[in-house]
Amino acid sequence: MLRKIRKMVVLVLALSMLLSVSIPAMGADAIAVKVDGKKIELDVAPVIEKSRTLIPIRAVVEELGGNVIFNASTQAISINTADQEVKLTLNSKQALVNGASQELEVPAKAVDGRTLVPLRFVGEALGADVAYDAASKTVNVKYFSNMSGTLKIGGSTTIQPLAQAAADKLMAGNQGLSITIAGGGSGEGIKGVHAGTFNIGNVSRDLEAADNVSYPGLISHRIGTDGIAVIVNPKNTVENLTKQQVIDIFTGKIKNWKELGGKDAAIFVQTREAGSGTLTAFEELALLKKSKVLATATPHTSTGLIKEAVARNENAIGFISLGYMDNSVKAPKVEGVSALKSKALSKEWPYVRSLVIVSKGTPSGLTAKYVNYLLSPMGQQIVSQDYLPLKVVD
Amino acid sequence: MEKESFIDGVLVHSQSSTTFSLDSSIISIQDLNAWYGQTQALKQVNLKIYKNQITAFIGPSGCGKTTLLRCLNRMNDLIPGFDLKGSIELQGENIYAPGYSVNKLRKQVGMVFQQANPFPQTVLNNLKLPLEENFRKLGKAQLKQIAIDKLKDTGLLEEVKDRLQQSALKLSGGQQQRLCVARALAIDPEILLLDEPCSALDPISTSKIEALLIRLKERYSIVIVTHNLQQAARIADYVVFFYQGEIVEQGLPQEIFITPRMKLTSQYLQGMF
Amino acid sequence: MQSFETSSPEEKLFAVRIETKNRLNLISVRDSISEKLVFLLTTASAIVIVFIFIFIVKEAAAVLQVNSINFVTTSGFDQQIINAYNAPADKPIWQFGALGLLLGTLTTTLGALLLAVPMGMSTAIVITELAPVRLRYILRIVIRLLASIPSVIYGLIGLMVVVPFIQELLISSELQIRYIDRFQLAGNSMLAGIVVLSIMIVPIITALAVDAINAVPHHYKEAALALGISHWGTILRVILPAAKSGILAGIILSVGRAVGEAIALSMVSGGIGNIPQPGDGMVFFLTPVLTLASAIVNKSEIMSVPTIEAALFACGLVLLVTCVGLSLCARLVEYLVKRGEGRA
Repeated sequence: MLRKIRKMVVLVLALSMLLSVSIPAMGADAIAVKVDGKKIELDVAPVIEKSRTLIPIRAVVEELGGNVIFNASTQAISINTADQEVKLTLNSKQALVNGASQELEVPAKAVDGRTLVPLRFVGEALGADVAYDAASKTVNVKYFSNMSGTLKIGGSTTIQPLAQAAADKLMAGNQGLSITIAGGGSGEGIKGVHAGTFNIGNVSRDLEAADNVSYPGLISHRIGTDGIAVIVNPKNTVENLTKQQVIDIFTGKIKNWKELGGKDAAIFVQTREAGSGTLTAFEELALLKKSKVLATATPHTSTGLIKEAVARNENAIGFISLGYMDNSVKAPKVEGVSALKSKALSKEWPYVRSLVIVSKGTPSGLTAKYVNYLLSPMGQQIVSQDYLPLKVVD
Repeated sequence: MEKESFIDGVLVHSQSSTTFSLDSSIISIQDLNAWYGQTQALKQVNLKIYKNQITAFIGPSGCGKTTLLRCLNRMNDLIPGFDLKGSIELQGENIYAPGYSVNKLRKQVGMVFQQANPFPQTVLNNLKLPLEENFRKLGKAQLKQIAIDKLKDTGLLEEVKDRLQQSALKLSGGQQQRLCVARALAIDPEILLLDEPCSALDPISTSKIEALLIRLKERYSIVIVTHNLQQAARIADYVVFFYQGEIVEQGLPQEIFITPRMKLTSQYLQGMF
Repeated sequence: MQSFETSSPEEKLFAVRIETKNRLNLISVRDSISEKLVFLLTTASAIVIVFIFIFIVKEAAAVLQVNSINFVTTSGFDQQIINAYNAPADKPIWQFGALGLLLGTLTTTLGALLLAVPMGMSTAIVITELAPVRLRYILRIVIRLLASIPSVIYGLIGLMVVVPFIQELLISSELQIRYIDRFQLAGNSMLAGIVVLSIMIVPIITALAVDAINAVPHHYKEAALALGISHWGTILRVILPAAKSGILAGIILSVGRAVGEAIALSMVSGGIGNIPQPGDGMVFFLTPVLTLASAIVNKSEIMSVPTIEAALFACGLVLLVTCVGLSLCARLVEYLVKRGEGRA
């Protein structure tokens, strides 16, 4: 509420300032900025100087999946996306685009404590199409709606559904765009990107030193965080486990549910085939990298199959990504913490891992746009449906 | 009425000099009509088949002679849409009566087909198979003995005695057909039906079969369908001429072949159709 | 043609001769081209097969050199794969033993055959000889449809129906506790694999047996019936023996499919290469097993590890040899049968 009031005050103040200072071509109806057809709310109205539009750039850059850093002491503005880097200095006509010096016609300037930056210059430097429609007084920035070509993505089955959702959204907005999403597991993702079969690899763990040795030159982009839940059959009466009990169950020390307060029945441990990102993450996070899941555990080739096996067998126990939890299985508390996404968000849940997408070298073209899309508010919205996004949205 | 009067009385056969009379018939066909779907194949057939005689059915293709032959052991039952009215009595019993056992009928009325059709098994098995299926109590030695006997009866034993364990399909066409005769005889029928048994055979094989049939009629009653008029003249004791599903004329071979009473018969004999 | 009308009979004949000769030339050219084409295609496919074989042997060579015959006489494949996966890159682990997988493949395939051959044959007899004509037609369509269903569907049916059924009916809680140290008795088992495989191959056996029986010349059936042999006697003693080689071809084909089946089996057979122990009694059939083909599919995600890649290719080689062996067995049976009836 307070924030809203403050916003209103700022807006009223800004408007009154604008009206008092006579700026050419400015009226009560200010210039609008649209990114891919979506109107961007600007906290300071755009200013037109020498027929260049200057706007508070942060909202637009973030919409493109990038970020803006303003260094107050050096007056430097640093704008970064997955593929581009633009450096401006307040009131300076010098700009650096990926390290190359460029001359600005109108420098960035501070208006009422806000930094305004020439939109066309930055937009085009980031790879967007910027066009001004005089009739509607709108600057149209096209970035995720002027894509065409083919993009091949593959790897972790954990990331696959969200990648598919993102791809579907992108393809719906771009006629000539084709994105294919394959599974195969994190290892396949890394291998595929290195071999060139994939433009983007989905990997449900952070890249390790060993990956950099076998597949050098990969760059990873973190898109979110995943929690792993221990799952049992809904009929199972065991509600609480300790981290040690989880270790003992999955390494075969505890073999009967009655040792955990359940009924007298054998514990059927379900696991994933070697190479599964979820298994690797589980062994890392739950078994503390020290031990492996016991050899008699039934291995499954996908999250769907392990969940199905637990849903079917009253005495089974397994593990899946929190994003896949549904009513067909039940997740007991671990150390008293419920396996809820919110608990994973707050990192109270013990089993949490990174979700990254990897590219070969610095991404460019379509690949870069895809990375930027997943980092943009739209992409993060998709990530947040199953997992923990990068930033907590206010 | 005409037909009745014709076969009335005692008739003497020129070749075999066997005498036979009305009461020696084994099959009696009365008012037989048969259809394949809408097409009538046999019309008002009245006929007697005499014991220990060779009866030959002659006539142009499609005249109904094979249909009638296949009625005698009810092979036509297999054909969808076949229908029949009238009666065929085998030793006084109507073979088309409800409840009459077709398998029993076929054991009494054996058949040899136009195309030699031995089973694709060994020569011996061709004879043993029907024996085993029909006389389950026979011992192995008995089975083999009967099989050998039948081969002997058909004059085949000498020719195939070294090939009993070989496939019957490796025999010559004539041998295969005689094997089929032996196989038909193995189950000891009373009547043997032959449907143009020599149409695919060379003259030597044909004469062997003819000689065999003449020998066999001492023990069996034989009905043969043939296109070969000479053959009918050579071996038949009684000849029936069919045309368009009807019996035009029946009688002793010399009467049919030398003094046919019907114009159609003489036209057929002169090869006019 | 018009011009011939005025010409003499000799000329006409001559013209016809030339025409015939030209046509014969044309035909002989066409024939020789087709002949060469067929020869080329045959050679090409033969080369491809040889190439596949060489490729597999080459890929599997490293594992076979290290393990030699032990690859098919020792077990522990699952654990060995995990060990190989976790081994450091400079100390690769090459020890593999796929006996469990081989036994899993053989038991499921033979078990499925024992169930499916009688079922397929009976269905084929019903379709060809016993059912009313219209029903035969419908049944044939249904069978062909079933034969073309992808195996993953059968796998799903197995998972949803067969596995729970086996668990409910045959496995008690006590039995599960008794065996938990050796394996999990959860319904996913050799038996489930056998049932799913047999459901899968019955349509193949049936479809080919139906074709084989229909191809038996009608005159064999007539001959048998005319000898007073009953319908069943005719079917069993004459028709089936005459259709034998076609039926056998169907069985060989279905053995090929059963041996090579991966997806459906990996869903229902348990996924672990245990060696079924005959001493376990009924539990023998309830043992979770893994077949060669399933192992290749299940472990293929980690084929980036060279040792595992070679091990999986070695599995492929064993699979290939097993297939060839089984089809040679079938040929042997065919030969013996033929000799029995004097045709060989």
